[in-house]
Amino acid sequence: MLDRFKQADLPQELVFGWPRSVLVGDEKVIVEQHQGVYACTEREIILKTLCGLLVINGQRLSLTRYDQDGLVVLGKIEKLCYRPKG
Amino acid sequence: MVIRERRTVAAEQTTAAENADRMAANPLKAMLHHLPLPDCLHHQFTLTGLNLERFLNTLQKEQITLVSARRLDHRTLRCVCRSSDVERIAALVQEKGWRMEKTAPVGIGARIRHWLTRPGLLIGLVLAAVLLAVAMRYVWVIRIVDAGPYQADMAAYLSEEGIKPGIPKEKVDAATLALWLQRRYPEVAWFRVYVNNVTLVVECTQGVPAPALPQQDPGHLLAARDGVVQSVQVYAGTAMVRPGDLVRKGQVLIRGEERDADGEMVPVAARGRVVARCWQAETVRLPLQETISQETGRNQAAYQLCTPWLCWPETLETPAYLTYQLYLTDTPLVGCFFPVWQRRVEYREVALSNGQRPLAQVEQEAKTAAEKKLRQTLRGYVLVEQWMETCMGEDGYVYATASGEYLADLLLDSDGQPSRQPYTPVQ
Repeated sequence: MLDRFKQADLPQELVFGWPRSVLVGDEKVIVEQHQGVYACTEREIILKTLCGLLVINGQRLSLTRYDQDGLVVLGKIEKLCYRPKG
Repeated sequence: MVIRERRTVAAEQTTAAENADRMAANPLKAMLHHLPLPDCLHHQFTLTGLNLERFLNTLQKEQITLVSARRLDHRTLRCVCRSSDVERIAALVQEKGWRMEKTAPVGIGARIRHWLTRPGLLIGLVLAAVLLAVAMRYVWVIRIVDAGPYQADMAAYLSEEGIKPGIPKEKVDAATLALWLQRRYPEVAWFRVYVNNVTLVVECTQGVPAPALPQQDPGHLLAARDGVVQSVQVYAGTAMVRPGDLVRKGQVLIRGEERDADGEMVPVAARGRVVARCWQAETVRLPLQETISQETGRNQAAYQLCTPWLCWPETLETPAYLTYQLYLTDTPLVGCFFPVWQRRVEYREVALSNGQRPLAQVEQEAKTAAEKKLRQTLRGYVLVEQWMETCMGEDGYVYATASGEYLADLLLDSDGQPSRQPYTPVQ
């Protein structure tokens, strides 16, 4: 089933509900299809996603335009990684 | 759950009481306060409590957009939200157990709130705009440009006609006003009248008067030089020559009298133009012999110490040569910043003898000098023709004569002034 969806010419992030992250330079991260904020500090913002916890490390981080569609993280982005669930 | 509902009811009662007080204190402010707020207006608030991430997720579930959020410390979050969502967020915060404080508008919303607290400023702005709009419908300044001697009279005339500062623009008919002014001031070439903002501009263009004709006593015009008349134009008087006539200097060319309608001769100041072909010759002479000096080999030198002001010794002893040539050589001693130099004066004896120059060379030099002299004399005239003659004089000189033919007004002398003679009736 998964292979069939993968073979189909459909955007997989829409089909599987995967998060979509766009890193603009080192100052902005746009995250769509997240499942909420797990932690939020000035040095680290952790978002819950279907793939696990999306960790954004940096300096002077802040959330902008936080709504159901997505959010924007502003600040000096230093690291962007996934932390496995559990 | 019961406690939470009680809190909500109490909060609603508090808000209603505040609104009533606000309405009583400032009705305009209260009325504006109840207007629906657009999405571009934002509020900032500080949220305090535990598990602030849950607050963010709660807002997401409630579909409340947060414009920005920044964590200040582990129990404080500073957020910016839309002004229209403030009340919903306040209710959520109260319900979930956080504390929301320092709620204040930011950005444009803050400015609007500031204006709302100062209704006088708003009313003043509106009144100023209305006054400006009304004032722009009137003429407040009347500017008259380049009227010259009519400046004061024109201002008085406009005032008499009711064109004063304060007149409405629609009552000013620029085209009609220009017509009135043209009738009143016929000496002015034309008027341009227009309204520029709150200024009525009247631009006058003065006519350029024709130059006055010279008023002179009756008299004749004489020839300023010799020549053969080529054309005659008479403006006043009677022509005494025709084309082709040979005239001499001082001859009357235009007589200062005219025949009037009754057939009688009346004296006038003769005016006209008589163009004639004239001639001019210039002669230059150059000696055929030249003096040649040759050094004999005897010489004498002396030295001086010189400054720009004096030399030492002041005078030098001159040798007893019959003729000598003098050579000066200056040698700076220190430099240009200290002007002292040594001068070497050398006298060289020479013997003089006469020699004969080549005739062709002297003739050529004489021709060139004569032609140059002729062109200097006839500067400003157009040379029609030119020729050259050379001859050998008995005095040992070579003579070169350059002659030129040119066109000129016979009535004007070399200074450009007409040669006049007072009127004398014909006997």
